[in-house]
Amino acid sequence: MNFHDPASTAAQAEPVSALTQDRTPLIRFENVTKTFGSFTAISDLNLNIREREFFSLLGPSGCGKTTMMRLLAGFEEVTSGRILLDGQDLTGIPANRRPVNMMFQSYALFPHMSVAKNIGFGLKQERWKKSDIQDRVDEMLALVQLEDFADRKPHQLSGGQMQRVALARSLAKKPKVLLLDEPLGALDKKLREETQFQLMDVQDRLGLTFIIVTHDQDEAMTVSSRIAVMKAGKLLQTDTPARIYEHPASSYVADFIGNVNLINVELAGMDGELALARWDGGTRLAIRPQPEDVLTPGARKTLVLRPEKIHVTKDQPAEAPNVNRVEGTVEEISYTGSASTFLVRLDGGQLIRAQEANRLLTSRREVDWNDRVWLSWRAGACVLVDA
Amino acid sequence: MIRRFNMFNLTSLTFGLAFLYLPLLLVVIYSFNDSRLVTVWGGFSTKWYGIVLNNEAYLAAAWITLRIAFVSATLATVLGTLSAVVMVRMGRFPGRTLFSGMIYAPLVMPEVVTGLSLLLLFVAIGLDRGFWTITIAHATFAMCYASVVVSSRLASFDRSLEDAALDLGCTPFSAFRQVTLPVIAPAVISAWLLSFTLSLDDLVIATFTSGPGSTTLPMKLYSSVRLGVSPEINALSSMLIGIVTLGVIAASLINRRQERRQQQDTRAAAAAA
Amino acid sequence: MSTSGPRRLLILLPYLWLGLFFLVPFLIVIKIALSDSVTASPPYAPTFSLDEGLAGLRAAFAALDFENFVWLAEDGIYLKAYLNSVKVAAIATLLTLMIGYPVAYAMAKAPQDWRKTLLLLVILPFWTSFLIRIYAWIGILKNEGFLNLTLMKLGLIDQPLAIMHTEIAVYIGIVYSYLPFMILPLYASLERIDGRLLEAAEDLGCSAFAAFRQITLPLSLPGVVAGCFLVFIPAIGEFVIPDLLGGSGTLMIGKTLWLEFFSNRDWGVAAAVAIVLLTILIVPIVLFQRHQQKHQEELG
Repeated sequence: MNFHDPASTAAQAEPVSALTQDRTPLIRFENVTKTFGSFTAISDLNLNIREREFFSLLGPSGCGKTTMMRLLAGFEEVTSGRILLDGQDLTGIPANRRPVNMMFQSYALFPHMSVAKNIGFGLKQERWKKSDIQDRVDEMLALVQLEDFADRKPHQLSGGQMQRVALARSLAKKPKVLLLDEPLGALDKKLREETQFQLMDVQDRLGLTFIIVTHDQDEAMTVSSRIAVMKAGKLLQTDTPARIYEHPASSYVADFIGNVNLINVELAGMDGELALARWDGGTRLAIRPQPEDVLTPGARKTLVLRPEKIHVTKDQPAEAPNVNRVEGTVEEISYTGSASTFLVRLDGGQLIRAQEANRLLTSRREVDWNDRVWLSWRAGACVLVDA
Repeated sequence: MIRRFNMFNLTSLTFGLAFLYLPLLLVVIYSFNDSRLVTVWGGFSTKWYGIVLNNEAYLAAAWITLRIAFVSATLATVLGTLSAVVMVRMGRFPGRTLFSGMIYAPLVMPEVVTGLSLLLLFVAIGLDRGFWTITIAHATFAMCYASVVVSSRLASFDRSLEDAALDLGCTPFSAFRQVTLPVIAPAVISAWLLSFTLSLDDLVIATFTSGPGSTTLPMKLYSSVRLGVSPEINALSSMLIGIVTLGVIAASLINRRQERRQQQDTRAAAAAA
Repeated sequence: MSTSGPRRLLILLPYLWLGLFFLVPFLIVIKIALSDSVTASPPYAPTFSLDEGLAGLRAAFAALDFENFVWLAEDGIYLKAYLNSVKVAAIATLLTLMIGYPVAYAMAKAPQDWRKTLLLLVILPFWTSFLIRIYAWIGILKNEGFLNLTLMKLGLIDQPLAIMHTEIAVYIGIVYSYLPFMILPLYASLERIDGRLLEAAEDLGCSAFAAFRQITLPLSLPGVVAGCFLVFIPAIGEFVIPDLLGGSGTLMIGKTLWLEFFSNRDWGVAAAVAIVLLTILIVPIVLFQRHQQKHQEELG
């Protein structure tokens, strides 16, 4: 199922890469702090969000991501600092006069109004003409493919349909920015994945800026052009999904997104382009450093190594300067259908998680419990972060 | 899932309900008694109803009671809803403790004390006692009940509905009017009905705050009851019992049908998804 | 939200109303309780009058004393009325609990689709006039009433039982009038109990009765406490029931206040009686509120 825009006037989407650079930001958070009593929800935060981005605020509950959204929507006022939208300072402008609309986590559909009344609600507040409201509502209903549901009440809709009504209602006023608070949290897994693509499609067609709050890293990775990872009221890293996953700025970010092996190492020196590090004073590891890495011999660092970058073999891999090899015993295998994860106890006592796609049927799998195996990964498959 | 009653429970229910209904049933049955002797059955008759309906004093009292109940229930609902909003939504403000005290105290205040204190106020400020003093008194104690009813609904009200209305361009006041009020309307109506009934039913406070020419039906009933049981009072009581019963049953039937329809809709939507 | 004009108005309106019609009257009661009774209109002195200015006000304050309270303490009849009110209310509460518990229990155990109807049946009499409900009992309890006629016809008694105008009639009246207040909180707490708890108890070797005693009863205690307070507190200040069903010997404080005011026209003593009545009520009210708060927190 794909959304089609009946107005077909939507701007053509430019490639995201062009959008994320060299533009004056649509939204600026400047030194924003928000406290509730003695609790600091947002602490001196700076952030730029550009036009037509699909931007995710990602973090565990209580990290301040929902507060960011409520500050932007106008339900809360900043304690200090300011928020600019399109160059305009939003301080003191109440929620009902901000060119920002929000799709609520619980959808917040008005239970006493029909689907059409819900979608037209914002237009009615702006005193649009009845016929214009009707046209716009029809357009929105077509956008979310609910033309036959205009006269239904919210309780007569399924969860997915309610989600689409909420989306249509928040888009009806053509906001500059659409805020989505855990928009898919109430849907089951399969519907959620389907809806993610619908959201991306709508955003792309209408050429709007979407800001989504979520605690679901998969969701953030799938839909966003950029992700801001938050913790305790601060931004830890703001980057594209691929950069966040493959080049996390800290071990916290690495650990928060996906599975990871975090290995404490001590830098030993350089070998041509490769950095050499000592693991627990023994094993030498080769790492291809990033341009921005500061490599002081003797410094303690954390090596971020994703399980799927590690090969598991029974035979010893051939030696090469840019390949790391360690030997251990399989302690545990967990089967998840498309892949299997191996927990391997190295001879030095450390536990490493490695993942292999199940290219063969499980009955043909070579590696089994308690087997001696070799783990290997390339120097460019891992990154260093501060310990 | 329990599908049947067991003997013990059936017995307690039978006795409990018999205890609640038998006295009222006797009143209704004997209102059709032809004899003036209230405990001796003298044949079926509806003559006492005719006598009551032609009794000017009863009719005048009933009319004034209804008017007081209507005005005071309306006042109580408005004030009670406002207080509920203040209690649930306003957070901290100076004098909040005193305010919540004044909301809850009348609920546990003996009627004789409420009546006495209001009378003393009306005497002190030189207000002539009559229709308006009773109305004010009823509105004052009923608004506390109304506030409790509306508060409990408001507390479970999904705040994000109001946020959504603000987000879509409503002022706080119009968000309350267009979204909050329609959603909590059933509770507001319940509050009104409760206030109305409390006012209809009140004897003690009305007696303290009434003046010449403002005798309410309970006051009239009370002075007759003090003289003993009579077939006229049986007939009058039966009429009141009948009206209340019909009202409550109708309200609950409407309520239940709405609930059932809503459930069906929800099930249908879930099945269609 | 900010402290804007409309917001302040919203608070002010109910605030002023309650201040004027609840708080001020209450202060007047205190003031009159401290005044002297006189044969005049209004029948108390001193009266505050702004004509005499501050000096007059000071004089009026100086004239206030505790004479009415001394009177209450010296005349044994008031003390007896207070004690009797507490006794009658306490016994009636216990009786209501004993009758209400099995009914509430049976309602909570009734088939699901019956519960709403049963709840309605219990509440329905509460909506009918209080006076009519008391009146119904006069016809039953009086000497030539239904109860005595039936018992005599059955040959169980020769002489009519003198129940009317006794404390027994008052107990019956209170139990009957306040039964819904007992049943509703009891039912609410009983219905909330997870049926699987009882299955677990029986699975672990409890007999049905032991499971009731060790699981159901303790878990329904919040309802028991709430119901008892809801009956006990209003019963203490009750006027209509002791007046219509009780005899001249049934002293209760609400009735005493009424008589002082309407028959003796002693406003000062009536106000003093009101003050003492409220002081007696403060203890159970505060206890009740504590209990409700604790219970709410446990649920939340």
